[in-house]
Amino acid sequence: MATKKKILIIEDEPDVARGVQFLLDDAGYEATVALGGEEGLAKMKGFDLILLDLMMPKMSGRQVLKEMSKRSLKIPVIVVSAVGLPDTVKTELESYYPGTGFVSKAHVRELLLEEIAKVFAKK
Amino acid sequence: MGKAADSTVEREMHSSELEAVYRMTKAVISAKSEQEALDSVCKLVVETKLAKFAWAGRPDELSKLVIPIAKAGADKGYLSKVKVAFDSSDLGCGPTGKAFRTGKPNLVRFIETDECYKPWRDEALARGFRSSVAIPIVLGKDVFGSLTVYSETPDAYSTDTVSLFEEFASNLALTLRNFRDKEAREKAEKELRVSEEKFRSLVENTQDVIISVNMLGKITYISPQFSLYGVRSEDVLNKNFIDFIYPDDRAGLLADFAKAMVGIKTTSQFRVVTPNGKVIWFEEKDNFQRDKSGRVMGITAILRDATERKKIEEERAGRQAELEKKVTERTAALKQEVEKVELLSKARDEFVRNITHELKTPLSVILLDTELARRAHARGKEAEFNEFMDTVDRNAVRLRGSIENVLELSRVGTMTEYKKEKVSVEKLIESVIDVYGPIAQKKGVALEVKGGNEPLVILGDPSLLPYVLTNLVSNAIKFTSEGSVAITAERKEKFISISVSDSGIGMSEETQRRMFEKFFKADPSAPGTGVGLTIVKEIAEGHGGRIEFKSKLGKGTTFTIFLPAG
Repeated sequence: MATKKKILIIEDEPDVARGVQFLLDDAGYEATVALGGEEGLAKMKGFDLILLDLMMPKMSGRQVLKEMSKRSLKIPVIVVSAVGLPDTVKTELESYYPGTGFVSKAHVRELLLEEIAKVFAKK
Repeated sequence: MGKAADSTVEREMHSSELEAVYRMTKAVISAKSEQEALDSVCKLVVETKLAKFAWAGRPDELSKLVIPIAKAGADKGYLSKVKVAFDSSDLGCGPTGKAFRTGKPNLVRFIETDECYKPWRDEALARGFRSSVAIPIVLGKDVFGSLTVYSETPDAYSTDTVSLFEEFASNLALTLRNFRDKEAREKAEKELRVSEEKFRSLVENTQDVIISVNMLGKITYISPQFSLYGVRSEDVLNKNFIDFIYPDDRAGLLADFAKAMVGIKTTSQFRVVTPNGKVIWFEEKDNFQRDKSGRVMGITAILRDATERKKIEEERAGRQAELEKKVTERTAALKQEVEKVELLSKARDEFVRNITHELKTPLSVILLDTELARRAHARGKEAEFNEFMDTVDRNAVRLRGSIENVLELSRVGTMTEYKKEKVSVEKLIESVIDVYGPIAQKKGVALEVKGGNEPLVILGDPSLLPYVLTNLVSNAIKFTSEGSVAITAERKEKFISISVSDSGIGMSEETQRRMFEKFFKADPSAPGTGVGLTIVKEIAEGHGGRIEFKSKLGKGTTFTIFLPAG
C-alpha cells in the first residue's frame, strides 16, 4: 500500500461520522467527513470510495446518488443506512448508480471494512 | 148536478134515479181515496137498484185489458170468467171497450141481441143481465177508468139516464184527478222528506263543513258544523271567503279554482283563519255549481278538516328531515374520521420510519463506538477512548429517551385514569434542571428558573409529570441557539401553571396548528418521534388541566401547562 486510499464519509450524524472516520483511519485509510449531501458532492473529487448515509436532512443519499449519476462520476459508493434496506430499495438505488454496495449502520463494525476491502479488490 | 137540475131531464127522471146520483156524488166527495170513491159508487148503484151488478175498471196499458178494481152486486163470478179489452180487438168491441176508445157512454139495450156482445153474452145471460151501460171516467184527455152497470131488465137505461151517468162520471173523474194529484203531491212530498232526511243526517253526522260561495266570492251558506270551531255562521255569512284563507295559501287556492273551471280536477289544501284566530287546515274538492248552459254560478264545497293529518305529515316530514340531517352529519363525520385515520396511518408510517431511525442510530453508534473505544484503548489513545465512551454514554441516553417516548405514547394512549398524588413543583423542576442544565450550558443557552417564592404542589401522577416538563424544556433548548430558556411556576386559582419560555426560532403557523397532532414534526429531518407534544397535551388534559402557547417566528415560544393545584 504505497498511498492510502481516500474515503469520503457523507453522514449528518456527527457521532456516526466520527466513529466511522476513526474506524477507517485505524484500518489504514484516509477518511474525510462531509456532514450532509451538498458538502459531500462538493468535496468528492479525488476520493477512491464514498460512504453514503441515506436519511439526511436537506439532501438525502438518494439525491446524492442521482446527482453523481448525472455528473457521470465513477467513484464507487457504499450506502451506509440506519436500517437494513429491503431489496426493492437496493434495486432502486442501484438503478441510479450501478455497483452500489450496502451496509447497515448496526453492522458497521463487523461488515464495513470487509465491504470496503471487496470494493478495492475488484479494481 | 146544478146544470142537470135545470134541464127537462130532471122533470121526467124518476126521483129514485136522482136520489141515487145525489147519494153517489155525496159519497164520492166525502171519499178519502180513489178506491173508496169507486167502491161507494158501485155499492150505491146496486143499492139504489139502478143496477143488479156494477164494476169499475182501470186500463192496463201492458195487457190492453180493463182490470176490475171495484165491484158491487150479484156477479156470480162473472168478472173472473170474462175479459174486457180497450183496444179494437174482439174483446175490445164491447160497451166498456168502446166507451174507452170513444170517451163516450156506450149503451147495450138488449144483451140477447146486441151484435157486439157476443164474447160475453152467454155468461151475462146466465147471470140474468139483460141490458148494460158502460160510462168512461174521463177528464179531457185523461182516461181514469170505466164504470159498467148491468140490469135484469132489457133496455133498462134511457138516454136521459145515460146522460145523468155521464155527468156524474165527469164529476167522478174530477174527484179522481184530485185524488191522483194529491197522491202525486204527497208522494213527491214524501220523497222530498226522505231525501231531506238523508241529506240532513248526512250533513249533521259528518264533521265536514259545507259551504256555498257565490260568483262574487260571498259566502252564502255554511253548515252548522262550522260552529264546532267556535264561530257563528253570521260571522262569516255574506263575507268574502278569501278573507278567511291564510294569506300564504290564497294564490294556490285561486290557481286550483282556475284549473277546476277548465275541468282539471283538483284537491285543494289550504289553511282557514277563523274570526277567533284559529288556523285550520282544510282539504276540499272543488265543486262548481253550473246553470243549464254550463256557466259557473258559484261553488259548493265540502271542507274536510285536515289539520290532524297535516300535523302528522309535518311531523313525518320533520322526522325525515331530521333523519336525513343525521345521515348527512354522520356521513360527514365518518368521512372526517376516515380522513383522520388515513392521515394518522400516513403519520404512523412516518412515525415507524422515524422511530426506527431514532432507535437504530444511537444503537449503531453505541455498537460502533464501544468497538472503537476498545481499539483506541488497545493503541493507548486515551483521548479518543474517552471521546468514544462519552459518545456511547450520550447515545445511550438518547436511546433511552426515544424508548421512553414510545412507551409513554402507548401508555398515555390507553390510560383512562391518572393518579392523584401530591407532587412538589420545586422538586419536579429540579429533576429537569439536573438533566438539561448541562445540555443547555454546553449549547450556550441559559436555563433559568423564575418565581418559586411559595412551595407549590400539583395533584397528579408522579410518573407522568416529569415527562411533561422534560419534553417542554428539551424542545425549548433544541430550538434555541442563543439566549435563554426560562421556567416559571405560579399558582393561578385552582391550577398551578408552569411556563417554559424560550428565545428560539418560534413556530410557523402550520406548526402552531398541527403541533399537537400525533407524529407531526415541524422539521421532518430533525431527530425526534413527533409524539412529544401529543403526549404532553394528553397528560395535561387527562389531569383536568390544559396547555396554552404563544409563539412568534424568530422571537421565541412560550408553552404554559395548567395542572390541578394540590
